[in-house]
Amino acid sequence: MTNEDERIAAYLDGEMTAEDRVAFEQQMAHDPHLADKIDRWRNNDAVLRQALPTEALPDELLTRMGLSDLSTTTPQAMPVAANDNPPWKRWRWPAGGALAASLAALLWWQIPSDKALADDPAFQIALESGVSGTSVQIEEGQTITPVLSFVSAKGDFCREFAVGSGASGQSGIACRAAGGWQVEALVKGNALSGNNGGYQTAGGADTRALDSTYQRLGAGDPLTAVKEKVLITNGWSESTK
Amino acid sequence: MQSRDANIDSVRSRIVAFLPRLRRFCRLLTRSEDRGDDLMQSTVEKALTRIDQWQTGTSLESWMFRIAQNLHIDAMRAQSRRGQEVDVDALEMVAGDDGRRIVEGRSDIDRVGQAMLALPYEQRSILALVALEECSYREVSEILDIPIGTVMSRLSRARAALDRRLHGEVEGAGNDQ
Repeated sequence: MTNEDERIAAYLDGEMTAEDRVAFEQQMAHDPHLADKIDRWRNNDAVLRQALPTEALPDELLTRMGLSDLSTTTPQAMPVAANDNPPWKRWRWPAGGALAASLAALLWWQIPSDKALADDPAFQIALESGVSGTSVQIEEGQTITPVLSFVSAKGDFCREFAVGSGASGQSGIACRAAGGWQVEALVKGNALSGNNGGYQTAGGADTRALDSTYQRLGAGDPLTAVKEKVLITNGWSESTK
Repeated sequence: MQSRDANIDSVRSRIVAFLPRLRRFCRLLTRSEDRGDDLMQSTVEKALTRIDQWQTGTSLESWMFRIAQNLHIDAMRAQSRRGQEVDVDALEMVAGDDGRRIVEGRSDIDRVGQAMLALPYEQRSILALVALEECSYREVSEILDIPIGTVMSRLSRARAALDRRLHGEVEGAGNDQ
C-alpha cells in the first residue's frame, strides 16, 4: 500500500492483514481527519448501494434470452460458489477448537461482514423499526432480532442484533448513518434461544467477540425500552449530541 | 446424459439468479439501460455457447463479469474507425456523455448514482465490482485482467473521485485520471 487512499480502500474492503488493520485503527484514533474521511468513504459506498439496487428482470427479457423456463425455479438470493460469495458469506469459521478471548479483537476483522446484510432492505427495516427482543422475518426461516440499542461515543445510534438463533446464527452490531444501518461487526453464534426470541444474557463464547466493537464504538449504556420506542417512532431523529 | 442435462439446468438457473447483478453491472458499464440490457444479453449468449470454457469450481459470476467487460471494450473499440487501440474513456466520450452531467439531486441517493455514472470507465467498473458486487481484489484482478496493485490504485482513485463529486472537495475538476 503506497498511500493513504489505498489504505483506506483496503481497510473498507477487508483487504488488510490483521496487523495492518490494527495499526491503521491506531492511526485513525489519533487522526480525526483520517477517521472522518474513512467514515465519508464508507458512507459513500453505502449510499451507492442504495442508489443502485438490483432489480428482478422482466419475463420478456428472460424469454428473449431463452431463460424464462427457469425463472420460476430460481432460488432467491441464491448463494453462489464458495469462492465468489460476498465477503461475509465467503468467510469460514476456523474449524475446531475454542477461541481464546485474546483473539476476540480479531474476530470481527476476520468477517469482513457487512455489505450483503446491510444491503438487505428487510435488515434495514428490522433495525429501523423493530423493537429489541422482537424477531423480524427476512427470508424463509431466517430472522433478524434487534437485541439492544445504544449510543456510540460519536453520538450515532447503534444496535446489537442477532441473525437466526443459537450457534448456527450470527451476532452483529450496526450503527445508523446517513445511508442506512451500517454493519460494524458480525460474528458467528448468538445467545438467542429457539424461535421465541428469548435472549440468554450470559451469551455464548463467540458473542464476546463483539466486545471489541463495543469498545471501539465507545458504547454508552443500553437505552431503555421506552427511550428506544420513542426513537423508533421518531425515526431515530432525536439528537443525542 | 441425464446428469449432464441436470448440470446444465443447474448452471442456467444459476445464471438466471445472477442476472440482476449482471444487468446492473452492464448498465453501469454502458451508462445506458438499453445498451446495458443489450450487453447483458450478449454476455449471456456468449456464456451459454462457451459454457464448456467455464471451469467448474471457479466463479461462474466472475467469469461472466469478465465476458461482459471484454464485450463492452470490444464494442467501444469497434466504434473507432479503424479499430486501433484507443483509450476506452476517450471512446466513451464519443459514445455519449449522458452520465457526465452532475446536477444537484434531491437526495444523497440521487447524487451518488449520478456521481457514479459520471466517473470514467476504469473507475466506474472497478467501483461497481468492489462496492456493489463485493468482489475481492483478487477476483477483480482476474475479471479486469490487471495486477492487484493496479486494482488498489485504481479503486482508491475511484473512491476519491466519487467523494470529490459528492462532497465538493474538487481537485482538478473534470480531470479524473
